[in-house]
Amino acid sequence: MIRIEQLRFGYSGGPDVLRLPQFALEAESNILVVGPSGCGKTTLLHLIAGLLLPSSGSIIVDGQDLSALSSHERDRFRGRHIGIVLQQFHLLPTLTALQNLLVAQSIAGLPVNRVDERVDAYPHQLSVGQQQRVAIARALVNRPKLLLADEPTSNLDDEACASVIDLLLSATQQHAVSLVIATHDTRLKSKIPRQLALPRRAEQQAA
Amino acid sequence: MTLLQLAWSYLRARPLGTLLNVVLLALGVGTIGFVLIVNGQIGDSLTRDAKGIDLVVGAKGSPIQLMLAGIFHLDVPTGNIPLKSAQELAKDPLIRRVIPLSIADSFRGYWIVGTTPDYIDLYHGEFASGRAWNDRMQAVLGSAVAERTKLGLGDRFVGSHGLAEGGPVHGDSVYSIVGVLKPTGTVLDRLVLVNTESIWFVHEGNITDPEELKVIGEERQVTALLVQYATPLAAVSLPRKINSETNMQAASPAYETARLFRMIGVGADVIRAFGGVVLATAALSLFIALYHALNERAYDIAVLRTLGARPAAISMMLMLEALILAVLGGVAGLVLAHGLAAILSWWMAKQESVPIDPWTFSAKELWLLVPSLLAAGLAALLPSWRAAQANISATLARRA
Repeated sequence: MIRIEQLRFGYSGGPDVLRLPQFALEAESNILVVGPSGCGKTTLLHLIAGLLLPSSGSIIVDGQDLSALSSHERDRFRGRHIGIVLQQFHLLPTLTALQNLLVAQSIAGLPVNRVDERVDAYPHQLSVGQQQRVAIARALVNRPKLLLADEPTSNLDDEACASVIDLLLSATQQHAVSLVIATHDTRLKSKIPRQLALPRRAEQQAA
Repeated sequence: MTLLQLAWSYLRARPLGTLLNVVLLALGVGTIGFVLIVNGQIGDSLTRDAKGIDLVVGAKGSPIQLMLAGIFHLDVPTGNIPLKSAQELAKDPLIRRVIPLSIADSFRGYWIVGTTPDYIDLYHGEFASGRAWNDRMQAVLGSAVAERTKLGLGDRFVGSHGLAEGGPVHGDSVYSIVGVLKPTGTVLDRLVLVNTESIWFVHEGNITDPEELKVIGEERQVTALLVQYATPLAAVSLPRKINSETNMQAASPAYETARLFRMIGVGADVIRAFGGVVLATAALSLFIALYHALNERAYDIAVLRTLGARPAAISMMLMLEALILAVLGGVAGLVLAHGLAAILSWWMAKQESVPIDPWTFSAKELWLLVPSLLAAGLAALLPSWRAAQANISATLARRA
């Protein structure tokens, strides 16, 4: 599902923020990206999502080299094939829960599903748990093959943490989606055994 | 869930800001539109009134006053001219037709004009009831006069000297109404028409002595002459000839109307410029609102990008917000413009001045949406561009 070769990323002029010689993730498998803060977990997620481009090396997602796409094609690829869950489970506040799902389909240029159940509540009218479920549903509504989640549990108590991770796992399993979670939350280690540990930046520089 | 709906959802989420921007745009468009409508209506109205009249001839004085009094009946006349000079002029081969006007008295604020039936023909007046006069002291009412005074065929009235109501009344000279005209949309609607002899009769009294009649006949006067040329060439020589060789004055309605419009045009320009300033203010307010939205919604925009929205789509969303406001403001502005015109029309009708029809909409007015769209488009330009440039990764990382 993901293949990374000789990846280097740095902001123009600055030192490399992230180096990753080799990494691969098979279809329908899950992995935690862990490491101390500042090691580039979020950066790696953004690179895989095509929100950032590597300085050198290649990232191939579902057989597609992201660097080979134009920025427009990359946006479209992300919309159709990659789902993203953010730490805040951020929903667009001016849209209802249903509209938050529909906007994802519309942006990806996919036919908009008719949803029988009316979900007319605005985000501020939903509980935090409900917002999380809508955000996860939105990430999955276009049937991506890859779901990226950035610190989905960092602000949650144990109970909420467990319910979010269970929801992520069951949803990805049910729809045959690979799941990459960037986190420093040790509570997740018991749920997802496979881990990619990014070293501190200094150690990356030394490598 | 199109971009348009998305843009609309943001506008709906902050109703006060949206209202402010719509109101500002509406004020700008409304002010400019108001000037346009009123200018157009007055222009049309004056053009209708002056149609078919090549020259007004009257006593020396201000040519604009002569035109205002002789054609539009909006001012007092410059004086009178001797009937003899008028008859002399009418013989000129360059002239096809002369319509004499005698203006001295009024009835309830409407001028009583002594003239010939040609004057009714000039404006294609038709009788709603009755007929033209065939003797002195018979009056024909314009449609607005009949409607306002509630008088009709067979009713009798007396004129008062000058225009002011309650002036000295010619109590012993009673007019009887023999005809009422249909509306013509011209100054004719606001006049009481009688024959020229009636005016003389009212002011001279009933003179039967032939000697006296002869003497007084020499001194008879009219107020103005409406002249139609026999040939366009007359325009070259006739006005100059009248102005230099007679004790009368000739004024060209086309020229004097244009001159008048240039004078009041300054006022119109000032109002229009004011509208422009309001519109610029609206653009600034809109710009600030959108720029603010850019920061407020940085995370929303980032989320939309993670969902696959291209930068151009984000720009388009902001641009659409501005354009929705522009259309709302523009349409509200058109309604406002007509509302203001309606108020002015009501006021001018009270003054018996030029009639304005404030509720005539023309397709041309849709052009008024252009300045509104332009102002909004300009205001949205920079925010849209910035939205497309935003660093999504940085925005997401900042909050995480």
